[in-house]
Amino acid sequence: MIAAVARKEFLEIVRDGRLRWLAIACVILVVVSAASGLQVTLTQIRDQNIASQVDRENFLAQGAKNPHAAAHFGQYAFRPVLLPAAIDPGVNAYMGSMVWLEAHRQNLPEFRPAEDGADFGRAARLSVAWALQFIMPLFIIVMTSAAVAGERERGTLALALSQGLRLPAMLLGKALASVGVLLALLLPLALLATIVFAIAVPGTGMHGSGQRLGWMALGYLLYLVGFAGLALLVSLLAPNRRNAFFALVSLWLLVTVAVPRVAADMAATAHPTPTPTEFWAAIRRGEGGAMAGVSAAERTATVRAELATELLERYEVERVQDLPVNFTAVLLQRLEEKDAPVFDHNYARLWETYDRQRRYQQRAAVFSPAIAIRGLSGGMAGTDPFAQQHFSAAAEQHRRSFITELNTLQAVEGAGRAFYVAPADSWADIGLFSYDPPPASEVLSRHRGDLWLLLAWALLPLGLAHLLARRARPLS
Amino acid sequence: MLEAIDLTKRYGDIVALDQLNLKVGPGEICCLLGANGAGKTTTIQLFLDFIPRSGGVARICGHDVVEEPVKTKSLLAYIPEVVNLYGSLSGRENLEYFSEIAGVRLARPQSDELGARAGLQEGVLDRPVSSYSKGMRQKIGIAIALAKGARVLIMDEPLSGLDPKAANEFSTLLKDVAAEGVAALMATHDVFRAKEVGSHIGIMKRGRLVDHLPTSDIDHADLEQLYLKHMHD
Amino acid sequence: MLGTLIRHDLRLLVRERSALLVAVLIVAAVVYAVWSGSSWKAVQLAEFDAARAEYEGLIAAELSSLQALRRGELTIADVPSAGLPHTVQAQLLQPPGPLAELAIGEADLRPTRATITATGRAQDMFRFYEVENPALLALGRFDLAFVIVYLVPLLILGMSYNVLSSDRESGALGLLLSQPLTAAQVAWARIGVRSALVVGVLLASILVAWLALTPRPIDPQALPRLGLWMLVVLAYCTFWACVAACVVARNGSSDSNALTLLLTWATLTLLLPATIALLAQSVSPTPSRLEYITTARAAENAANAQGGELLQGYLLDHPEIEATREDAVAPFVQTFVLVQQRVEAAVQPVSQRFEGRLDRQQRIAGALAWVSPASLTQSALAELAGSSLARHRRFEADARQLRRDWLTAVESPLMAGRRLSVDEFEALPRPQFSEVTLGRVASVVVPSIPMLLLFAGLALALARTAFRRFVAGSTSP
Repeated sequence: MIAAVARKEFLEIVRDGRLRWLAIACVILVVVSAASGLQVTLTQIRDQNIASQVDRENFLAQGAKNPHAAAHFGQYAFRPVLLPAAIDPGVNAYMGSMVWLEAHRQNLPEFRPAEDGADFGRAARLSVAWALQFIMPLFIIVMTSAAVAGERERGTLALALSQGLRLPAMLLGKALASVGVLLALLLPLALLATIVFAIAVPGTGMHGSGQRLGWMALGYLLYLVGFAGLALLVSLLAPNRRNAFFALVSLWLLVTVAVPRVAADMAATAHPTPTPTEFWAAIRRGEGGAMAGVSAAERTATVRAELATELLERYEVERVQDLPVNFTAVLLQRLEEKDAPVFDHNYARLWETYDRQRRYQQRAAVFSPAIAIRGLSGGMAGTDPFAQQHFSAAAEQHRRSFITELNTLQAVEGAGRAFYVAPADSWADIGLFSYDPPPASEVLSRHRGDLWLLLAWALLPLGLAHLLARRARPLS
Repeated sequence: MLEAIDLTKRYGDIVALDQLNLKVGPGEICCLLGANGAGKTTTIQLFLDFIPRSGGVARICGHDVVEEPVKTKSLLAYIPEVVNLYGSLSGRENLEYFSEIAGVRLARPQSDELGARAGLQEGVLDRPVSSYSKGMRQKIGIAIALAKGARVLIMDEPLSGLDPKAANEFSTLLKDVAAEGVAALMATHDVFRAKEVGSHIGIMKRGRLVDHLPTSDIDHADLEQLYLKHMHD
Repeated sequence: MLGTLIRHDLRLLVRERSALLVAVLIVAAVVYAVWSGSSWKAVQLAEFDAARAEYEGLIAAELSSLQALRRGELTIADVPSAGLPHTVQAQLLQPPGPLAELAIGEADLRPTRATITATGRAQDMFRFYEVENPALLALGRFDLAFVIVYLVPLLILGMSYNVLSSDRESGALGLLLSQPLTAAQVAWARIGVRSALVVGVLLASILVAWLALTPRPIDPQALPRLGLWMLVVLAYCTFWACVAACVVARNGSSDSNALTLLLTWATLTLLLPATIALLAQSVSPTPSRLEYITTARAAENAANAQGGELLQGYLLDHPEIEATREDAVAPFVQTFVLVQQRVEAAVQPVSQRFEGRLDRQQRIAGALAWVSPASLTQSALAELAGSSLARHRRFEADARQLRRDWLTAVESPLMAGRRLSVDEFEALPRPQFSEVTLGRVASVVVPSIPMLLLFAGLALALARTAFRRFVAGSTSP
């Protein structure tokens, strides 16, 4: 019986000329977005590989130089782009794609692609994720809103019920048909993804991409099934087709556009991000460090005096020039160590603010699965702020370790010299940045809440519709 | 067969159907006559369990329609005033769909035969229903009833809006079906058709069955007089 | 006759309460958007004022210590950095646009402060501002431009989709059209009434909300800009009313009109702008910063390799500075500045290519926007608000010019290794951002109004043709 309903429904959808054109348009939209996303992503991966290679060469080719000058020359760390970013570029355009690692300072990731493009306005970034999050739900609404309300209006519902069809079975059949059409539409995308995944050269942007794509697919499936269920539920409850349609379009607008935006606004108001001036002023003041509130020059002077006393005592010499280590280098290292807690404190606070904002928005996800799917999808694609934080933390760790290596080089080799110039081949011994994005499991553990929400979103409307259908007298 | 015992439907204070007692046996065709709002459609909706009843019992072949909704629906067939079908599907697809949800799978020759029995010309069955006339849709309705081997036929104004030829064909078809032992209940405005098709006539007024008599007992003119008399009371 | 129609329709709207609901929705959206934008702008203004005050305080302090030093009241030990040509800072600030509270656009993404010193690198001029949470940036603020470009069309369409079909479905259309009236007159009168209601409530609530909420003091340019803004909104709404007429004239059922209009809305406001962006990006891809960085670093290595020779070479080329030579500036600083000059020369072509490609993409996007009413309106509103990319790039160009002027001003004292004189210090460039003039903004924005009306005219012509073929009877069995 359910199969008969599903088959009939499917046939009706296929025969509906307008739906057919809409479906074709959706497939084209998804495939074009996928192709362009893939092209952009592969270009980014290639460019970054080249850039990070060139940057290594530049670092090695510094020639004979003072190690601290080399520390100022620094290294660039590039945030890797993962293959799933082709599906969901997420907030990539709004995140710095590289970070400059230099002496004395933990920098923010810089060069956000959105700044480097023309003025397109925010709504206009075509991607598979965008199509799946915004356009596909609209298609589902157009396809499913008349499911029950339309049959009631046409009178076919009465005939079907007089034939012994139970409403819950009918709903189930219709749900199957909607999801079936949906799957049929997404098949080209899945095929494309599988092919690309199969031929992509391992090691370039992979990082567990298969697993990540799998979770994304599950998330989107739940998200879209939820819309199908909602459309059926509203169609069951609405007095007529038109009311069902308008109610669903309003819900769509609310769920995909209004709630996420307002939630973001409110999150920003509840947990404001510091302005750049505030952020750097707090670091300049040395907040979170042992000498907070003391000016940089005074801090340096105090550290220098303490260190001098300490070393002169330890090595039992009279003047710093007589130390068996290069005093400047040890001082530089000591300053780095004093600054480390300051950066740790302030960056941790910044990330904490981001996370508070995220959690605040996630609470609103109860009203908007669009927030949950954005979180899950962006997380899995490695295109959410967490990807940037994770990368930033790894880059900072590397910065500290290679600055330490350079200071150590100068401290040991430069002992007794006022100005030490390291030979040109010294740089080969200095560590280079290598980075692995977090494994899919770690990302998943952050988005478990999103996944549960999506599951509830997928099942609740359908379940509710089923429950109501068992009690409802659909014709009275 | 089809039976109502003290069947009552109230909407708040308004009594739509007042203690209806009615029995239609196999082979009988009972025509319910009455003005708009007399309770004809309410009776039909109660037999179909489309609306909850306020009292009494409605039975199809001895099964209570509320207690055994699935069983009773496998025994009855319903033909509304307009048999609404899926316009984008063909007559055959509609017939197959509605039969299948009643648990009957039709092979192609079977649906051909049903179409022919219902009086549909050859080739019509494969045209989309959106091109059908009202009479053709009613015939699909009959075919659906035939397909499931319904023991009871419930019809709500099936003849309204049909041209005389189509109405005639429908009446003949109905009598053929009843002759096979099907009990039929039909609501109608048409006194002439009721006399011609029905084995019994029930006259309803303000939710009550005010008269119930076999058509063989009265001639046409008497019936019309009787009907008008009830209407004017 | 028309007057009767309009009166009747107004009565209907009041009875149905839909007009009230729409009015409440508009007022709520406008008030929220203006409040949200105004609170953003207030933060920006505070940041701007603080930065300016901080800078002016810094400069005043430096000047007074330099003067004290020159007068002999203080010694170098007291004020070691007074008048040093490589530590004194230049700054250029970009204030939020005169109407930025109404259309934030992508202004929240871009730097508003350029900090320049002789030893700073060109690519560091705007750095260290990327603090905001990318997730919030990506969503953007709920600003008034968003309400106008996306939500208002939906309301106009939602009010107008059934002006004829509802009457046909209730059976009143036959009665109505048996009077001396055409279907077109009925439709236009009703769409007119309903759109006028939406636009009237919209413009009135914008004016009131803006006057009540905008951060004080009000920019003198703000009012004329707001006037133009209203005209753009009016033209955009006219376009959507004509789109509604176009669909209504096709004589479909309410359901099918609603669906057609929804799809038209999605295509024109979501898909078309997205496609334009995609096209512009594929024809002229967003330039990559990677080449810039790698070239700059390779050049730095090359220049560093020459190291001290650069300084010697400079001094040989500029024998005149020998006369004023001091040693307030360490030679490594001088070398560093010279190395940076080399680096800048080396990245110059890369920068130009970068800017060129960005220009090209912006031109293509700008040209393509002329086929999309939504994009056209969006960019006109951003331009009027003072949040456009064009304004920002002007700021960047000003900052680069300031940097060149600055380096010229401090070069000879720097290379001579001496402190600035009081006169030199006072003569250092201290420009302010000059707002884009009203005339210039108008010249960019005004052409989009006739263009929007042209789109409206196109829809109108289509509607007229369809109305001529209008059949009052039922179109399907």
